[in-house]
Amino acid sequence: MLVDLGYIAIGVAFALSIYISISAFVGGIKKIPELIVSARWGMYSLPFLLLLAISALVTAFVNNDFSVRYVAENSNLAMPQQYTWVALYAGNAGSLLFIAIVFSVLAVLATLTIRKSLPHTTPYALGLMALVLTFFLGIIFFMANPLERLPITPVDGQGINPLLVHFGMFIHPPVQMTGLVSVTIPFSIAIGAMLAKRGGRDEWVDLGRVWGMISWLILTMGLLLGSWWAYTILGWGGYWAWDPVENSALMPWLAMTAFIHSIMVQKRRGMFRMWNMVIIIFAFTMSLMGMFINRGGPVPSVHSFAQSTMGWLFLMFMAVSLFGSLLAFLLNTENLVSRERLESILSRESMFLFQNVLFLLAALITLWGSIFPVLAKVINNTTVTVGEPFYNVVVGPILLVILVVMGVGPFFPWRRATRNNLYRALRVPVVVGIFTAIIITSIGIRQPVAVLAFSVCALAASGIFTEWFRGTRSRMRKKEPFWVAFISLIAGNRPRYGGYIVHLGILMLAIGAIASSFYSTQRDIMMEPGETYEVGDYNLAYIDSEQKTYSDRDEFIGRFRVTKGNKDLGFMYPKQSFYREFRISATHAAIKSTPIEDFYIIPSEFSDNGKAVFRILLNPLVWWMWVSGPIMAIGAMFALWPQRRVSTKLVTIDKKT
Amino acid sequence: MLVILAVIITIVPALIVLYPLIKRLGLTELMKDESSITAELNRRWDSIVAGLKTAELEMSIGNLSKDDYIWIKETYAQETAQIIQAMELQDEEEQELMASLEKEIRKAKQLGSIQQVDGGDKI
Repeated sequence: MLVDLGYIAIGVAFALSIYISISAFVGGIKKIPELIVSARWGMYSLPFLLLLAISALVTAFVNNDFSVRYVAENSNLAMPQQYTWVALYAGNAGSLLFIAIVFSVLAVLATLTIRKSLPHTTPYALGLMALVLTFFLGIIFFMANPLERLPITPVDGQGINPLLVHFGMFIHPPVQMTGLVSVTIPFSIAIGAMLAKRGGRDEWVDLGRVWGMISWLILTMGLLLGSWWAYTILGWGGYWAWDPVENSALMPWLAMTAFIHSIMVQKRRGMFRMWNMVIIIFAFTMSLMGMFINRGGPVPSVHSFAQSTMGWLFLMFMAVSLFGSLLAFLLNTENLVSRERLESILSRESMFLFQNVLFLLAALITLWGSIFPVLAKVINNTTVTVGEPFYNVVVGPILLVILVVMGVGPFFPWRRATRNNLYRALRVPVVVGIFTAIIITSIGIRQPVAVLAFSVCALAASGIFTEWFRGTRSRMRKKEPFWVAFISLIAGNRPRYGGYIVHLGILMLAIGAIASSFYSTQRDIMMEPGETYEVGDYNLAYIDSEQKTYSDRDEFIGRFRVTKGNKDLGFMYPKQSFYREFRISATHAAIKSTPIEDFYIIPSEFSDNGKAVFRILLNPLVWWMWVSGPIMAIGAMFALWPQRRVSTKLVTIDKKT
Repeated sequence: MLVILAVIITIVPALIVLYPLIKRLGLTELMKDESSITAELNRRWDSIVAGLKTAELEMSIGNLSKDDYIWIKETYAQETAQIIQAMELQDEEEQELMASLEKEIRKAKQLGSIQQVDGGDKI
């Protein structure tokens, strides 16, 4: 009964979302407050309906109700119950329901945050969010119903996709899906303000920035968790393969990174009004593109488990929303003229613009690389693969220049910078950068790109630390103790220093990526039990292997004893599982991770006589990439933390006195 | 049972969205306007405060020379003066409007009391 109720709840939610979009737009256009309140209350009730639907699905999973097609296709009796959460979004229909409920909650939160400060924008933003929900709920209700019944109930289900049976899967897909759909919120606020003719005075900028940063943070976490999952389970020793689905998450991230920077210029100077609209439209389009590639995208990917035949629907929705938002933009350009102009090329504003162009360029190239194989197939009927070498050559240099801009950009003051200013601000970081290049070259790092990249990272990091040091010192002159001075410096300028913390996280990520790309050591070896092998400073002894049989899989586990110099690092257990039903092998790498390097063993092949082929990798500084995530999260939250507003009443009092 | 629950699931959201229409809720919904001159002046005030704070910080940490700091401060001071002027104009307009409104109300009250007195006489 709960399953049927869940389906009814989806239908009611679909009808309600149609009502919300109509009443919100009509209420906004005709200025009918009752309709706007009605739409808002409708939006508040949507998550409850979807909660009922998702509860019905969870209950079906927990009770092994294989009469529900989705449960039968994505779980079985052998599946551990904790993987119910993963199974929920393991397929297309469930993941769409998950996206719908998450988005409905985000839409409620967004409505609550904007309704007081943006009353005229709210109905339009509400209408846009409801339209997006209508699209998702329409697909779920008519085409991808996760609560659909099977005519005959099977005894057991097919089971969950083995690649998803991993701790990372508890967090990565939901975070990634939430990140992609969350781009809709800043998009709705921006376009809503424009439709309400309230975009020209920067009314929406504060809340657009807050929601833009939230969305950016979720996308960042999704990307990092995805990389971590790929690193630990896909068993190829890397974390980023420029896979189309990875790219589809990267493109909105690049666009949102550009957006959260350029929105600062609009906030401060009333500039880039049109530009910000274009970026947020692009980011939203890229997030829809991400969902399109994810489900039914025509490019093969390791993420193909979420595929369906309804990619064309996402493509159509993307085309319609792109056309609609561009039309709205073109009809409103006269309201979006900047209040001020660029005063100098040497200014913070122009650095933001330059950085924005680089981010968008990187996103567009990634987009081209992702869709080119499809175009080649459709137009020329030729099979083309665009892989890592293309992106390394084309996107790599752009990312390097972005790092440079990230390093020097914060030293450019707003409005204009004189050469003298720049000399004063940049002399220490530039010297540190040059010094780093000399040191790393002298210790044997000779790859020109790696030397350049590490030097740029050092320059950027020293810039941040120099500023912290100088700022703290200046406060210490007012007799503040060191820690008080340091904390009050950062707390008093949260967006700035929160941003710097995020930049430090990005630098950690960059250092890990550069080091592991240029200086990774890889060995493929066949070993017999009892044999030892040396890689770098490590000595590994292959002790034995063991085979375990479970109801759904056969596991082959190798046992190694690893030492580094005289230090015993203990046992390592690389594992390979073969899932009989799916005919898929999943490898679980054994990793000894330290801040210096990762010692990484992946099993490739086990034979009956105990012989096995292993891939051994020494990946330097990868640890820093995973640490960068929490650092960026702390920085972003710090930057978002509200600051006390200086009252305008003070001015009046001052004038009177 | 399923039918009853289905009806409840359908009726409850319908009642929730109908209630504001029946009770005519939300009369204050669009009263405040985010694009009003006051709101715009407040936003510009905030951006000037932020700009001044940043300039001061940049100066204290040595990223900004004294000449440039003075130039930026003067530019912001000019903008501040414009905003204060605009705010005062807004205040004056608001006060004038309030005064004329009060005048109208007083007039209406007086007229009402005269009519009441007239009416009383008639009775």
